[in-house]
Amino acid sequence: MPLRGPPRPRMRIAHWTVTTAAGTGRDAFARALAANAGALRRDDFSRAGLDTWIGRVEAVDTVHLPPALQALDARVTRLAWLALQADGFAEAVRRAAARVGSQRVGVVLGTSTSSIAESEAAYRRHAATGGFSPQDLRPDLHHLHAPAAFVQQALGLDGLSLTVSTACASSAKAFAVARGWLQAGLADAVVVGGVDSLCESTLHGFGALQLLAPNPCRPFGADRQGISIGEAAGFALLERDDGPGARLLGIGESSDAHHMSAPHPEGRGARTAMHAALEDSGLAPDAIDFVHLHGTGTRLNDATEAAAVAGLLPHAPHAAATKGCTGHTLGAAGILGAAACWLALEQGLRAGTANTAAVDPALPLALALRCAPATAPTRHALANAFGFGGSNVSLVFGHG
Amino acid sequence: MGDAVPPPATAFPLGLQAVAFWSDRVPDWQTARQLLRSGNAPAEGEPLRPPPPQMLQGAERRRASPAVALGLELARLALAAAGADAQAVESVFTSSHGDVMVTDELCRTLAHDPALLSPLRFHHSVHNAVAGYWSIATGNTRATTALAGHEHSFAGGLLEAALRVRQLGTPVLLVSLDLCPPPLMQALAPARQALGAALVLGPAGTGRQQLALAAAPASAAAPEPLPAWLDGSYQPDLARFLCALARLDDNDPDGIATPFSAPGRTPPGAELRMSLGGQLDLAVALDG
Repeated sequence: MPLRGPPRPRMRIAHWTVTTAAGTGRDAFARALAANAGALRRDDFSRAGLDTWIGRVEAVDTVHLPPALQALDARVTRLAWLALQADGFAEAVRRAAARVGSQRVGVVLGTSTSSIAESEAAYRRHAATGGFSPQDLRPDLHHLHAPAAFVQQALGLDGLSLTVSTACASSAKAFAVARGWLQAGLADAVVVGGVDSLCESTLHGFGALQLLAPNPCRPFGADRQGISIGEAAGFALLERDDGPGARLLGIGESSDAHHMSAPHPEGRGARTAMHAALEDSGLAPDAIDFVHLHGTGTRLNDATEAAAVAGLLPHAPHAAATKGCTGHTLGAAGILGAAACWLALEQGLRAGTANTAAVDPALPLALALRCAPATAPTRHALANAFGFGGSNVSLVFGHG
Repeated sequence: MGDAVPPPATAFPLGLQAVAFWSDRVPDWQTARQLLRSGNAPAEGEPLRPPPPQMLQGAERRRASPAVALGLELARLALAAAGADAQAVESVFTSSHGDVMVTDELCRTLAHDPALLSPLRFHHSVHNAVAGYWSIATGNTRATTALAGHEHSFAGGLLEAALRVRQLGTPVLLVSLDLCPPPLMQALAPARQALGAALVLGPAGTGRQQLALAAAPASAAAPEPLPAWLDGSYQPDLARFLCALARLDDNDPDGIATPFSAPGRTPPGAELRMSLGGQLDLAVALDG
């Protein structure tokens, strides 16, 4: 019989913020979810001008990094910076660091594409001119951990730092690393985040896979035609103490072991992850009353997730997907799903499924999926994030 | 204080059950270990190519990207040496730069003709491609993660694997690798060699080499210089760990480590410091 480790403590979401195409800060996100408003636009980012819609954070185009952080200037770090300044998040982290020591505050960030937009730009320059410019030659920027290193520096932290990059499950999986550090006493607080900025790789990559929707994505709709790519950053300050805020109650992880870019047809891995998260939280399935679905808007992803959710949660809790509002923000998708859960727990705001007029009647989820938002006291919420490579994570949140 | 506060743990003991190694200069751990113990350097020559991944067959083997090929083969060798069940372990994959060969091709295609981007290349470009292919090849449906921490990618991965061992009480596979970047990527992020290793880690008392990990304030001491043939990959901390490990034992036929209670001999242990980023080190004590 395997030994069981120490019981899982419940981690507190002491502070959080998100920045998406709907705007800077959590109120902009909450307003968009309450209004069920889409914030997508026709692709005006890709140099090719693809026939698709994107979730672009406009403020990234005008924000400037302070001089001390200029060496890591990139779209992804500007997006992270913008998000850190919202909702007093950076200030809350500074207060925590002053209390427990800057070495006792960790940083774990989920990102799928990191700073690859800068590598893309350097290669374009090389193709056009036969050489690189000095701004291309920044070894501290051209690696996966660069945004996390930037966040650590921007917040003046000196503790553990790590990047989780498991495609679209990245920032959900980051919670597992953070909880491990807190539980082991390696940190007293951890900044958990997700950040992914628009880049050519993902727009053309999903285009090559024929997964881009020609219209704003319609998760779980009968007429869904694929993904709308977006960019976003979100951060949470996780602590072990007793203060106010939602609690991380459970994490479930699984691998599909099926295919690199297509989910298991019956949603085996998704169901395993949700089941494991419930078991980890000690909750029965019917304790869940809000589900933030991964809901990318592709035919296959939504069908398999619907099968998994309907199978595990037959009591049909309010389930919704918000990528019609923000776009699919890849490595940041996990923390946006978590943020939707925190809004349900803290404000009773249960998101709807923006852009989806009617649920695909062929899906077993038809009973649970809500196109319109609702307001209702929420006890426990579950968020799914699934990624390429068959990487599945479910998070369960509740009250203190 | 809250009821959920765990006692702060100071050290995490664990057992090292097996090691697999590959660099583009030295193809296996036995050879690497002998070189590290003797102070000799490998013969000069063309860089080696990653070994073919024996877990994949036919078209899959040919299509595997270099990082996938290397990661799968290292994982297979380490699990076989440990006698561990490939379907029963959780796994941690870590790499500073991911598959730089795939990134290079992706960026070149995007610079010249984005419409030609291949879907296969794109899904190979995710950092968890090695983890994904490994789970498919083994049928392992348990948790796996893919990490990066620049020059502390290995230390961060080792810590994550140790925490998972502590929670599960069962073995965890750790694969840490980086390729040698092709010319353009070389200019953006210099490195001059490929280096990879797979470790099978288990609870304290398992395996023949005991480790204890602890976080400590960053040491001001400069790290010991690496032998030239092991210096220059994206993963200096992995190279340092392997150097320390190689020096511990004399005559282990599997190239892992002699039993630490070997009669008539008490080899000294070693302590190794690896940065964890920020102002913290991972202190690794290796029992002799």
